Amino acid sequence: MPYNPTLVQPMKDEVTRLGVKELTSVTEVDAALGDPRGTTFVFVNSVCGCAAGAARPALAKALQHPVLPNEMYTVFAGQDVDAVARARSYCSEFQPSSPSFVLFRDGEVVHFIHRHQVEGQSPERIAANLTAAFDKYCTISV
Amino acid sequence: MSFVPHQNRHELHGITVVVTTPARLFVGRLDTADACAVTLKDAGYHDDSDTRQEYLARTAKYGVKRLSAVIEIPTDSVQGIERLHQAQE
Repeated sequence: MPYNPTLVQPMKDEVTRLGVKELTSVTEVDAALGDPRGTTFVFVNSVCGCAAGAARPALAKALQHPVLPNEMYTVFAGQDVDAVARARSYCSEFQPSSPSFVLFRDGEVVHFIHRHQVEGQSPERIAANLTAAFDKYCTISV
Repeated sequence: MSFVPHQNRHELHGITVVVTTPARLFVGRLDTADACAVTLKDAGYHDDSDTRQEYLARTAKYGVKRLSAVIEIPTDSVQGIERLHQAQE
């Protein structure tokens, strides 16, 4: 059963206010992830305070970086269940994990940060992991 | 009094850990650990199809393949508990 929308809305707002577009339906996910061109970032948000409590501030720090993916999306685990399942289908070789961060380049997963890589980490350390991936995969090679 | 989540829980409560026993290696989110049992949620385990190190490396990269919602491991068989993140460092 999904969470009470009132409970999760502040956690969603914490991400969407950063300019990350929320996907709440299968149609929206397919429209966002169906075109594999360029770099696309997906944050699987979640209620869990142990990990998501650090993941969201980490994302905020990482998105201040000068190099960013072309597109940035978020889905909310345990709330927008169909959208999350669809988003996970685009990286099905990876086990479900929330919170988690996924970076696609031309439709291929090039960087995946699992929950276990978030647990107990500082937002600064998680952000450094993210920005290193942005630097590695989101710059155009000439 | 305000609500404090996970109050009075084990220090690794909610953390993805590796539990080592003579028979098996388990990976999952630690729920409780006491004199009787270590309880993991959304857990998987090494099934001897590869080495323990290969299993841990695969799990660290691709995530925990959930084989059971809850696994209880007798405490007297536990040789060690460490974070999956640290087990890979």
